[in-house]
Parts: sequence; structure tokens; C-alpha cells
Amino acid sequence: MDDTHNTHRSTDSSPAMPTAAEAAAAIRSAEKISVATATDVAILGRVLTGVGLAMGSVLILVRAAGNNTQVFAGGMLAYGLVIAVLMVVNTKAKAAPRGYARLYGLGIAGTTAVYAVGIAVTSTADAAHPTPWPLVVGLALATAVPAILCTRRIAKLAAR
Amino acid sequence: MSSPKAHARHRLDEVIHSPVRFSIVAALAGVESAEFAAVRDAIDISDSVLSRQAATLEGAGYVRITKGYVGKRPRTWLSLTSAGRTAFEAHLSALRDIAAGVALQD
Repeated sequence: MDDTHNTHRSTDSSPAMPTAAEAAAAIRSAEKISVATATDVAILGRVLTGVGLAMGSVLILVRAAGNNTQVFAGGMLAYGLVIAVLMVVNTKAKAAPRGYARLYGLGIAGTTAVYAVGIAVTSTADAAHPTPWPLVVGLALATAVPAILCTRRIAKLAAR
Repeated sequence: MSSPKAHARHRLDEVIHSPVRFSIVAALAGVESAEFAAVRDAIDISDSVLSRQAATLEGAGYVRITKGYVGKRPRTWLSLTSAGRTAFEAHLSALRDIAAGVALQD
């Protein structure tokens, strides 16, 4: 492959200077090159949403399990499997658009913060006075919200 | 009065100026990292050409090459370093000036 622009030659050590048209063409070609595809962005976004929903579902699991350690252990095993599958799916993305890591970090941090609030709220309940289901479901949904919001922003990242 | 070195061509980066390397860097500018195969397919070049030019860019400190595995399959990821991103922006700026007919800086 030709490795040099067809350009006017410079007489010093500077690169050969492209014409105005060649420079404009090079800029246009740079803007057209796309590595992160819509599929990559969709995979990365779905994984983040999946992590958020999985974390939210742990709050429901904690409420549903009550003092039944077997149900809780089984639920946590399922949670671990879901997270493992999501991490495998994440590797199917061949490129991550610029800005993805920041949004992913924000989504996970936000979801973890709401999850911690959910755990704090449900931990104040006891067997005689369990946390009301509407509150648990609300906290579970709220846990997933930061991840979902960041997924929406990831989807808007320019897929260059 | 402008010095001779103020001409826009002096701001073109010699490493990035090659069309293939320019395409590689332009492709990586829009991503945080990309698999070797994705870059190869996006700019339509052979494995050997991409490998050679990526090594040149890595030698210049513009590209980071990371090798690893996904399951048992070996994978190579490419990403721009901060120096590479800065050099690419400067190179694009020079190209824009040339395209606009602004050959001399103030």
C-alpha cells in the first residue's frame, strides 16, 4: 500500500505538504472512519442496564428471603451467574466509544449508592415488621435507574 | 512577521502524516479501545500492514497495544495514548488550516 500522500514536496524535514483539497479530503476521511458500531454500543449499554437490574433484584431477594438462608443463598448464586454472563456478553463488544468508561463508572457508582441506601432501609426491618413491598420494589427500581440513565447516554455516544 | 517554521506544514506530524497511520489514529480517536480486527476491518487493510503500522505508532508513543485473552482466544486491543490524541488533534488542526488556505500562523 502506498504510504505517502500525493503531495507537494517540502525542501526541509517537514512532512510533504498536502494541497488544500487533499487536506480537506483527509479530514473528511477521518470523520467517516467508524470502529465502534451500533452493535458494540448496544451490547455495552445492555450489559450496564443488566447489572443495574440485577443489583436491584437483590433488594427484592433480601425481602423475599427473609430469614431463609437457603433462599437467599440460591438467589445470590443466581445473581452471581447473571453477572458472570453479563461480563461474558460484554466481551462481545469489539470497541468501546470514547466516553464509555466514564459513563459506565457513573452508572455503576450511582446504582451502588442507591443499592446501599436500599440495603440500609431494609436492614432496619425485622421479621415482625418487614419492609413494605411497595417500598422494596420502589428501591429496587430506583437502584437500576442510574445504570439505565447512563445506558441511554452511552447509546447517544457518537459511534465513530 | 511569521518565521518560516510557522507554515502549517511544520505542524503536520511526520508519524501521523502517512495515510495508513492517519487512518489508524483517526479510527482510534473515536474510541477508548478497539480490537485489532475491528480496526483492520474499519480501515480495510491487511493484518500485516496494521501490525507493522501500529508498531510504528506504538514506538512513537501514540498507540498502546494490549494483548490478552477472551476465553482461550488471544486478542489484541489498540488505543490512543494521551500523547497520540494530542498529536492527532494538532495534526488535524494543521490540515484544517491548509484546507482553509491558512498556510501561515499569526
